[in-house]
Amino acid sequence: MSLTERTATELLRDLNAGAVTAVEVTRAFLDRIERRDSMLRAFLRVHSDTALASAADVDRRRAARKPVGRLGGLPVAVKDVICTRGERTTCASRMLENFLPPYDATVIERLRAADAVLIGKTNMDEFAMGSTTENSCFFPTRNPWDLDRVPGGSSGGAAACVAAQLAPLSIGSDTGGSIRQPAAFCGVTGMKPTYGRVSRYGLVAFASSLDQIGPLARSAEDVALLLEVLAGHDPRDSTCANVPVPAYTTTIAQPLDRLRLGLVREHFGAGLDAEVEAAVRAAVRVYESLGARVREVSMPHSRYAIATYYIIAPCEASSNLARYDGVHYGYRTDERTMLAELQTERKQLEAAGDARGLDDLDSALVRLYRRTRAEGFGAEEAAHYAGYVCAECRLLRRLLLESTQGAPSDPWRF
Amino acid sequence: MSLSREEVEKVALLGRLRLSAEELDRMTSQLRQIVDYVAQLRELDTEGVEPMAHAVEIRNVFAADAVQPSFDREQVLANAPKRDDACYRVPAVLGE
Repeated sequence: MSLTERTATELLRDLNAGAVTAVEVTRAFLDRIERRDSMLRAFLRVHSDTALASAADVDRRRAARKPVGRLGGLPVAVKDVICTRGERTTCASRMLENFLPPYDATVIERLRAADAVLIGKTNMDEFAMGSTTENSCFFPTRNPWDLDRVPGGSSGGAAACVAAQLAPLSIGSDTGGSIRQPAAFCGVTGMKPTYGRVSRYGLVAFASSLDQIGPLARSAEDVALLLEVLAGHDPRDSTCANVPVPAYTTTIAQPLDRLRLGLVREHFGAGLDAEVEAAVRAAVRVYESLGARVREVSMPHSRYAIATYYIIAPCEASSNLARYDGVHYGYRTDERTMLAELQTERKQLEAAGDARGLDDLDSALVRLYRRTRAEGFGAEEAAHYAGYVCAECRLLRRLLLESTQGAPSDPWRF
Repeated sequence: MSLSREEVEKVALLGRLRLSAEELDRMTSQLRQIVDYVAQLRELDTEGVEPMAHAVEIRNVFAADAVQPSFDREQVLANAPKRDDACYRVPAVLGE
């Protein structure tokens, strides 16, 4: 079996046994990226040189019997929404096309400390808003199983690179399905961890009360391995929970006979694709055969979930996108053109004797903001940015939560 | 409740966005669809429901009041589109 066909867990075993070096593993994936990624376009940037250098460093330490981190030289791809110090982080937007973060996100620090080899930054829908990865300002990513199909999104590059064996592990972000849906579209394993499990420090924010960083890989075991490295308390994200991190790679081998799974009745209604339902039911049978107990439960408010999301997410996105104004960092419109445009408009209004129009004319700074955003944001961001604020949504969030917890006698409460 | 083109234009101005006539039409129709869609939430009775701002309710996270290393000014200003020594440079706001 070639190196790129192996799971991360298998590769790690071989690395730790000295059967293969981190440089060999890294080179195998870089070669495959070189051969395949021109069709898929999962990566925005590949960091061959720094990846090989850090792989060589891991090999030296392993050979000298010095300590090596948990990921011991495994390549990891990173979604381009997560800050990497001194390396471009664009969110697939013209707005941040040349942005060089002055710091590493906490998850990047953790990956480096665990001796992950960071091989490149993956494509996504602009600012993580979208579900196909067609909404990247650079180029769309394709589905490795069928190049005429989308890989899902917004972490489409993250899912496609794992499915195509261009990386054994990758990290994405999920606000409203952005890891889970592309993982499903590309046939890989991905999860959105519980809020607070993984620090978001250094994740470019979309909707802060919903955003999470999470792992994508080829097996649940590999996802457990990566999550073990990503998870844990971080004082720099005040919503990050100060709770011990279980050894997921150990607990994953436990029997499932104490596990109880709830199947939400309302999620199996109209609009569910027959093939998807068959796949979910088949998975349920696997869980049952492994000893888990499965029960149908009801979440009566779940039909309001998407409407609630469409209030919460745009409201939060609206405040998070306000920082892109062309002043502190990121794209700025050409000022000369902007000032000339204003001048022309002013003259036209003066000639027409339009006092009201002159009064309403943008100041230069306001026009700078408006032109910067018109040119820097794609359509999706503009729609989110024009979002509206509604206190009602916080009440609805509570209702949805209560419907998952239910009354003490409700079977959903385990 | 239907959103008007003028309302969308006003929201765009408040958000310091600039939309072409064609974008304004498209945005009006999209935002109208979203607003009409979320209007179904009005069916719900939220009387007496306590507001909830976050799924994980962590309260009062305090940091120690201690001096910690911060970013160097040069590092932070390195990404500025336009700067003047230690300041960000923007078009004149007053005295136009």
